Amino acid sequence: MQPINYRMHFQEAVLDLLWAQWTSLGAPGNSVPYSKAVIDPEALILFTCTLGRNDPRVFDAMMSWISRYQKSLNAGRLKRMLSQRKLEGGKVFSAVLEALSLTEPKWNSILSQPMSEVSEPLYHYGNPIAGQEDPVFFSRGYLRPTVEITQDIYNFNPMSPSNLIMTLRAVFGVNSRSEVLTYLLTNTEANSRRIALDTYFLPKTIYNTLLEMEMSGRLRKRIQGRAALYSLKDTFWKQEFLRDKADVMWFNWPLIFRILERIWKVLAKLEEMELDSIDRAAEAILLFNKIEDDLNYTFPLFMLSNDLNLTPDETAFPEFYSFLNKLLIYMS
Amino acid sequence: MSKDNEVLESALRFLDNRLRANREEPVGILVCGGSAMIAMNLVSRVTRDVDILALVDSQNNLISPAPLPDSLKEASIQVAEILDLERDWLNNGPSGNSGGLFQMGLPDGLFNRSTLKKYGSHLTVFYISRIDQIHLKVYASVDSGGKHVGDLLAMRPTIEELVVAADWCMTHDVSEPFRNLLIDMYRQLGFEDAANKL
Repeated sequence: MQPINYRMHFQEAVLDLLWAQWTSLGAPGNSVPYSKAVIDPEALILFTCTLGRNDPRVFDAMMSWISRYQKSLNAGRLKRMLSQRKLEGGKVFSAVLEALSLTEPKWNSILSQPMSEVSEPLYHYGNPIAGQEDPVFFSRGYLRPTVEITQDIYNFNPMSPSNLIMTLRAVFGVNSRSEVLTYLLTNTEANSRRIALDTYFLPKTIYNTLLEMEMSGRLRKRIQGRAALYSLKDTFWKQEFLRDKADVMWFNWPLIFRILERIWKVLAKLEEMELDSIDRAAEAILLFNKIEDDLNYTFPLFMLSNDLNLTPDETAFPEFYSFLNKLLIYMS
Repeated sequence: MSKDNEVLESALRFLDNRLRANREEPVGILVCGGSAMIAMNLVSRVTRDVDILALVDSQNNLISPAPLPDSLKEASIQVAEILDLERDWLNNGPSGNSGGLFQMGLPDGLFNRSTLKKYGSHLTVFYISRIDQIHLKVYASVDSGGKHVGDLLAMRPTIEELVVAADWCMTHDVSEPFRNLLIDMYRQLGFEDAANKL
């Protein structure tokens, strides 16, 4: 397979994933709504601000969705995802906020990001005709046609376990309880530090939330060494919120999207530089070394059953790509 | 090609590849030590180090390799990852500080006697010649012995070569004790005739 085909194939799979998740959250589309794991709206927005630039329709669907659901977004989590995972969509997202006139104080730190001095096309295909650029995006360094929010966004399906974060935010409001409960519904047990790490809240916030939730009598606390492990005490929550989809998973989407951004960059570089098979082997090994720890952290079971040992020859890149395909299927 | 030579050749090909893939400028390096001896088929022994004596610019001028350019260090670390080598497999050990070989002065005509090998568009390696290896190995043998003595013996130097090399070494250390050390070493190695000429 030629590098352009690797990149196109990967792009197609990633855009399918984006569409499936946005469709689940209420964006109009033909995709089968995503159901494998709980969708993380903030992570999805940031990733759409990078890889979504390959499909103007999914990008604009995201803008319409934000326009409708902006009150349900957690700015603190989004900022921590940007700083902890170095996701690259922050600047584009600041343009999205401004274009949608979302200037509430909670977005201040994102809106105050330095603007680019040089403009670049927002979409990787189909740039605007000169003179038809959106002025807000242009002022933030991106060329795109004028923004028109016309798409109807449906209500997200509150019965779908993959929409659990949004559903629980509708119940509890935009605060850590939604993520803590989602995490405990999709994991056997966990300590407050791990929950904070995986949900992108401050450790102290999660610690205090767990102490407060413990008073409800619905949490079980087990001491192991110096750690207190929390789990849900009865099946009420699972029956109520997961229904017959008890196998829905928690994925650390910011981490996964960061991995996918890295892969995308390397595939684009391979295509641009027309590297030979040995060059591609080198890129595959270096890339895998960079992402292996993150993959082991977020997909331990997948990694255990898909041991990848790359050798620096022409077999390395095809093997890595085959591994990547399995990973995309696993998370889809 | 020996297994050691294969590893080094592969490492240098990947180094060219990384410099190109990282969009860096082409690099020229002047190499001495075990890797150069293996590349020039002067000895057969194990080494996974490439010792840089000097950098070579596009006009074939020699430049100090201390410090190594960041682009070269980054690319060599990537190669170490790819081939599972030590991170400092490519190093400026022989010329790493003010007392290094490049800084103290190389044998006259060394660069002109070197053998050029291109590993691609971005890496050119100049391997020093056998006589220059003898110069450097004599100096290193007096200084630290060990593998350097083995390398020196493996090259089967003639009396004339040993004398010329010793004369060059004594321009680096003009002290009488150093001269005595050289003479002692030659005698211990069975180079009595060369020792008598110093």
